[in-house]
This record gives sequence, C-alpha cells and structure tokens, in this order.
Amino acid sequence: MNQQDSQDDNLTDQEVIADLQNQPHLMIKLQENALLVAESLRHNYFTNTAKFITYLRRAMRQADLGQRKEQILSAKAINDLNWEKVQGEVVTFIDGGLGQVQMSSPVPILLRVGSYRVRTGERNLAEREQFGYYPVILGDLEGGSKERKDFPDIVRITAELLGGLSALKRTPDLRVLMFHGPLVYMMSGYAGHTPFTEKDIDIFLSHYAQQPELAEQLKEDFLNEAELEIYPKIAPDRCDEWVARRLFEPLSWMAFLYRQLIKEAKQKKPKTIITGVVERGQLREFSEKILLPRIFTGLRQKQNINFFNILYGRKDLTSPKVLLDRLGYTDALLLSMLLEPGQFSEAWEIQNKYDGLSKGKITLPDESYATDADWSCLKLSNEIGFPKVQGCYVKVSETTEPFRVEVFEELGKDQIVEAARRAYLYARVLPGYAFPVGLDIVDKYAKIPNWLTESYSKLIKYHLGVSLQNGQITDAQMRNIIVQSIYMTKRDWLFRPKV
Amino acid sequence: MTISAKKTPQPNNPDPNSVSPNRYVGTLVGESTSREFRLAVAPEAVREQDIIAVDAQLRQSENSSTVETIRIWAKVQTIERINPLFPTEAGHELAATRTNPFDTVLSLTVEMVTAVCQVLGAEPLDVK
Repeated sequence: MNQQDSQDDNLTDQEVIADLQNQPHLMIKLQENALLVAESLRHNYFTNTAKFITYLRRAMRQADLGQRKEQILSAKAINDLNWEKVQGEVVTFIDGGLGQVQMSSPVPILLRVGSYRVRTGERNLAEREQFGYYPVILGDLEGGSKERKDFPDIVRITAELLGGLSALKRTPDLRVLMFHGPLVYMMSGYAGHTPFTEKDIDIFLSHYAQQPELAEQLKEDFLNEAELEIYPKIAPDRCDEWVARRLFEPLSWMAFLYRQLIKEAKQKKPKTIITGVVERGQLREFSEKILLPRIFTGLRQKQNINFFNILYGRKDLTSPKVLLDRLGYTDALLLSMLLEPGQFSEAWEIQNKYDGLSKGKITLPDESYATDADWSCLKLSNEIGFPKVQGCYVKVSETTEPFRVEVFEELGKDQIVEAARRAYLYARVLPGYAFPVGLDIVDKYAKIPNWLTESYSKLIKYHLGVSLQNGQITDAQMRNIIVQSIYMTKRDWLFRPKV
Repeated sequence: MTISAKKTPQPNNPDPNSVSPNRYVGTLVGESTSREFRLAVAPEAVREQDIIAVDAQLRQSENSSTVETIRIWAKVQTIERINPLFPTEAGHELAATRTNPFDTVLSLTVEMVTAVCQVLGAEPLDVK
C-alpha cells in the first residue's frame, strides 16, 4: 500500500488491485491460495480479496480520521529509530543449526547453537564482536525420545535457551537478546519425551558458563523447584522417584529456563529486550482472535452479517475461523496487505503456545512402559509454568512479507515496541531479504557445514562396515538394515536409472 | 601431498633477518594446478610478491613404493579477502545510505584471506 492510497478516503477496488499487483510476493501467495480453495471461491479469489482489503483499508483510514468509532487494526510507525540512537548497545543474536547424515534416510546427528555478540559503534574490532557456539552430539544424550521426529527440536530449543541464558549471565550490559524463530514454541507438541538424565544436562551445560559452579547452581535450583513444586503436580505418584533419579523432564526444564531468562533480564537496568523473530510464520491467531472478530462485530452492529457471504458467493462464512479455513488467509498474508513499510501491528497475547498441555504418558530412561503425567500445571498464569508471550507483525518493505516479533509480557509494555523498532532497523540493512541482519549472520555461523556431517557419515559407515565384515552383527534383519544404510545412500530421485 | 606452506627468504635477499626462515604461512585449499595454487593464509603472514616454499612428496611412476621429497617454489601473485558473514546486499545498502558499518550490527571480524600463488619451479630435497 502506498502513501497515496492511505491518504485517499475514496479508495477504490481498482487502486487496491493495482497496488497488490505491484507486490510479487503477494500475487504468488494469492495465486497459490486460489488453487487450494474451493471451486466456487477460485475464479474471483483475487478480485474478492482486493475488495475485502479495500473495505479494511477504508475502515482503518476512517478510524484514523475519527469518522469511525472503533479501529479494526492499529498500525504504528517504527521507522524513527536510526543507528545513531543505538550506539554503544550490546546485542546478542542466537540461532541453532542441525546437521543431518544421509544414511538410508536423513538422520539428525549433530546440533550446534551459535551466538553472535556485537557492540554497535565500537571501533576496536577485538572488543566489538564475539562469536560462540554450543555443540551437542545427539547420540551422546540418554534422555529424550529419539524415535520421535521432534527429538532434535527439544534438544535445539534447550540448547538455544542455555545459549541465551549464558549470554545474559556473561554480558552485564546486554541490551538486546534476539532469537531466530519463535521465542516460545508450541509446547504441547513436545510433551511426553523421556526425561533427560543428569549426564545429559551436564553435556548441555558444558559450554554454559566459565565457572562450573554456575552450571551446578542452575541444576540444583531446578531440582529443588522440581521436588517442591513441579514434579508433584506432573507425576504425583512417582515424583519422589523422579527427584531421586535426578531426572530433568524436558518441558519442566524448558519452562524453568524461560523463567530464568526473564529473571536475569529483569535484574539489568535497563531491562534486556528478549525477543524472537519469525520469518515464515503460518500463524493465523491474530486474524482469528483479534482482527476478524472486530470486523464481524462491526458487521453485526450494521446488520450486515452476510457481507462475506455476499462478497464471496457463499453461505457459510459466518465466523472468523470458517472464513480463514475457507479462504486460506494467514496473519502474514492479511497484514502484508494492510501494513505499510515501516509499520508494526498492535501487540496481542499469543494464546496457542500452550494449548493442549494436559494429561499424557511418559516413559522414564531404562523403562519399557509408560506412566501417567499431567503437564497442565505448566500452562500460563502459573508460577511454575511457561511465561506469557506477546507478538506483533513488522513490515519492512513492499516486496517482503511481514515478520513476527515475540517478547515476554512480564518484562514490560515497552518491550514489544523496542523489539519491533530494533528488528526493523536491523532488517533495513538487508532491504531485499528484509530480515534482521544479525540473525542472518548467526544463522550462517551456526549452520553445520556439509563437510562436517559428511565426515561423521563416513566414520559411522566405516565402523558399521568393519563390524559387519567381522561378523559382529549376526541378526539377519539387522544385517540387512546396515547393508541398506551403508550402500543405498544414493537412492534418490536424482539417481533413478536413466532411459 | 603437502599440507602446509612455508615462507622462505629469497635467495638474493640482502637482509636475512627481515624474514624468518621456515615460517608457517598457511594451508593449501581448493584446486591446485601445475601452474597455480591457493593458500589460506595465516593473519598478516604474506604479502604480494613474497616467495613461498611448499614441501611435497612425489611417487615415482615406475616404482610406487619410492617417494621423492621436493620443494616447490611459488610467488604470491594476488591476495583475496572475503567476509563470509557480510552480505553483499548490506554493503550496497550501507553505501547508499552513507552508513558506517561500525555503527551497525554487521560483523566485520570474520575474514578469509587467500593468496593466489604462481608456481615458479621445484627442487628435490633428497639430494645429499
């Protein structure tokens, strides 16, 4: 949307269509959606979307001019920050990279979390920047359910959190701590993993602090809290056994680390801005819970509840959820069409991070059976649970989707604005990609290069091959699997027999 | 094969103290030819026009068990530098907005310096 449009009260559909057509990423996404929606919606999908956006832009403009009582979307400028205003700030960027080995199928084997700390304006190169990384070989861990596809994720999230906590501990004047990806993930999906053992936690903590006492203290603090507060609620029947075996249930451990991050940030003056930046989010919670309910309320007030049904030629578009389901809109897509470059959308509390944290089953290390556990105590508004998270969307340029910025609500109301302003400033350095450049740097740094994973792959294949030749692997089925792993690595579409 | 390179005083260098002999200067990387090779150089280890010596082992074609040790002499022709963490796009944006990179969060410390060396000749080292 250009300035001219936003200043025009009599915005027409044709102007919006022309504006959308000038944004290739929007056109591609809308065309993609048009292929996925129902036949009856397909033919006029783009035109009808443009009409819908025209209506929204008009409503936003009218509210700005005081001609409409309630604003449907509050968008504010954040392009007032420049590099001069942030001189001397210490910023740490955190990202995790996963190394996969191609055996008969891709196997994640190595993970490392990279950190990049920089002080803006510092001319002395030795003091300006510092890189660090925290490697974890997944096979070294005893805990975690390795058969699950999300096993590398819980290891990565844990290692990223420890990387962030380590940065907060080591840097007294840390102003911004920025993670690549959501600040808090959809946690319920990770429930039920086998707890980590103390040995696993020692592996995680081996790169955490220069003084081993700090790592020990962190472990003991968690176990004390787990004994008194957490485990009796998660597993009342076996909590004493969990404590006696010094087990670290992954979700409880992560929630504890999140709270430690907030505790450390609160102690700094000014408080450290802790934020996560998501570049390709598929979330639609803002549209479903905030934006569209306001529109539906307005339509009901005007006795015009069939507005969407008439517009799209349907009968079932009667609620935000159904509208999003049928039309395939996401937050990023809708806000891409509503925000101007240099604006961010109003903040909202992201609710779905902890949906589904409830009862389930868990298997302890060295046990073959599953027992009951209840993770509902880790939900929001609980002192031992996960913290509340606020989010907003930032649009950097005409040619890119907005990215989502997340912060901890507990750290103050100004966190979301300050995080969005800095994310925008850092992203302006990459106008084509429109993503904070520090995250791009740490992403490249944390990436595990192919030569490294290939070396591991060769080493594993060598040991398997030697064991096979020496007759140490006797079981016929196991022999077949190993032969397949070693010799069928090139079974790929690219290597299919040529005509 | 060679794994390292050494900078050796030039035969006609009037001041032998200006360059310490057998100093490690870098590691061979990438593709090498009989005319040219690339050296990932240690910080501030070489300059253009420096003479580099690389020790290598050659297997005799008629008797593969016999290995001849040789020293290859080469001259540093050009020195290339790249910062793998500095996006080109960011460089253009800084130039367009007249922004000093030190004022931003861009990384300036990670650099990879490569010397392109022209092979001058080789001499056997096994001759007694």
